[in-house]
Amino acid sequence: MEAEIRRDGAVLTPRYDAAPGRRPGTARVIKDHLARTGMVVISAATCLLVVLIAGALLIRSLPLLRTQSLGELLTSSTWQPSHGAFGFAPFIAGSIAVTAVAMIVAVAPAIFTGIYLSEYTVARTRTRLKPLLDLMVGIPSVVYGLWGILFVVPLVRDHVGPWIDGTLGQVSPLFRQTNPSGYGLLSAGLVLGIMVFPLIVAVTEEVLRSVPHEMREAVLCLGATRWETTLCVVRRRGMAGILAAVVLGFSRAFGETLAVMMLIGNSVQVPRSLFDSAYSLPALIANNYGEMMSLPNYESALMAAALLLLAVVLLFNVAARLVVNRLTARS
Amino acid sequence: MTALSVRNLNVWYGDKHTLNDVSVEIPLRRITCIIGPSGCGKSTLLKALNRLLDLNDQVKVSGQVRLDDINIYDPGVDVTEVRTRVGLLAQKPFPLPMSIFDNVAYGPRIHGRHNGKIHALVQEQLQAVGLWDEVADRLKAPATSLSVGQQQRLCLARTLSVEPEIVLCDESTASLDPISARGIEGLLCALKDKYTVVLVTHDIDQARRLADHVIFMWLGEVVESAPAGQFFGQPKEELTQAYLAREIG
Repeated sequence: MEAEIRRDGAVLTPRYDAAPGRRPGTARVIKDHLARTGMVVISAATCLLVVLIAGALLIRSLPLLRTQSLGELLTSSTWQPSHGAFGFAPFIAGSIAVTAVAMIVAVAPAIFTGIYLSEYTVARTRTRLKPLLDLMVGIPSVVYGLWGILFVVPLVRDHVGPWIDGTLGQVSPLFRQTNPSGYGLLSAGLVLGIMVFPLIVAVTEEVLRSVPHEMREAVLCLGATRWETTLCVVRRRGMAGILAAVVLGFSRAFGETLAVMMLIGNSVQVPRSLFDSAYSLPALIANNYGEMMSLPNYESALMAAALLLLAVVLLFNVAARLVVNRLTARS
Repeated sequence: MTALSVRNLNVWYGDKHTLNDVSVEIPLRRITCIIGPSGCGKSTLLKALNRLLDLNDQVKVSGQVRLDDINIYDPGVDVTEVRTRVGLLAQKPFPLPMSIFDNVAYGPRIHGRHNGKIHALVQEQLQAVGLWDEVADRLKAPATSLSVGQQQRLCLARTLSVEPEIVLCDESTASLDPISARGIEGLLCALKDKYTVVLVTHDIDQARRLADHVIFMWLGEVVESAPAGQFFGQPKEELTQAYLAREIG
């Protein structure tokens, strides 16, 4: 259909939907609908998967939840499956403590490294360092675990432990070297911190580099130093993203199984010192699933532990998302 | 009197020679327009005047830009001091993600220059750009809530808040509607009693309206630099004549 020229000279371009008999768009419209529907289905399936996993875990946990209240399970320190006592408190405390050590070790250095890579390095240095960080993210956790056994455990046992015990140990029982083996919270936390470090660095760097260049120029052209510019960029634009990076690191650390299992000592106790051995929730499941399954409610208890793990990570992510939304709206 | 003196300035982006042996004088308290077609090196020259090119690690610079007889590219020079004295108004308004008030107060705060009278200082700068009456009752509102034209005036107020001697404008009206653009042009004319203004523009008519001095660039070189009357009335170079006649560009 050709364009129509009106008397006043205006050119009327024909629209497809205004051209009767010519609807070549039908096939394209169908493809468009198919693509959209396909993507909706895939996205919904992904979300549904989380619900299905949580549902399956809940159903398998019900036998235990019928016999013991949730409060009792969460607060009891007694773990004696043969007597039907399934207290999760030591595992929750172990997971929280080892994750806390890892985050204390990793967060500040990772954020500063991310800021350095984004704001201070030249492109050449960045392109050399980034593959190294990507490699660190990709190293299997069993390798980290082995490295921890060979290097970190002896270091903690023979050097770090005695030094902390001799100094801070006089101040608080938290720093007393109660466990001479070296396998415990500090060793596991240090290795876990090193594992989440590159993840937080990578996300922080990406987030800061996504801040428009003009913002830095605007601040620098007021005579701000590089550090003042960085602070302005981070505080006003980067904070939400950095928080997201930390949450990602937390989720990774909280759910990490193998390396922690190899280093934490796997003792069912609520840790009182940095050097105590402990037991994490993922390690509990990985170490015990498939064994002693004939004990009543034992499988159900392990499923409840998995459900707890999922719930903590989900809750933390949702809470972080709310904070990120608020920070984003404010900036 | 000269505000800035550029001598034998060469700039390379990687292997690309973007500015080729540029030597020009920027007269004091005048509006100097840098004109030329896209890609001729106008913005590169502008950003070389306050060392903003330093942000790009692919860039190499040789030659001199003298401000008060000091070469700003000398190793011992305080870059923050240079950028305080030579401010920039960018092509698009880019308010900082903070309130209207804080946008203007940010510069004086980092320099510690407000002497406890930050409110008066902010009011003075917003009045100078004709924005005070429009925002006086919502100073705590986000700067992004302003219209684009208002945002550009706010950015000008922010630039002036640290009392620069020279204001660089990189096609600062290009993204505005005609009325807002005329408003900014009026402000720049009013500023020249106190500030030296260097304006990059691809709009010959704008240069005719505003310029006291014109620098015409072509393929990274300065073709002609002359007072506006002479430049538009009796251009010496054939290339300038052709550009002004819109035969090239």
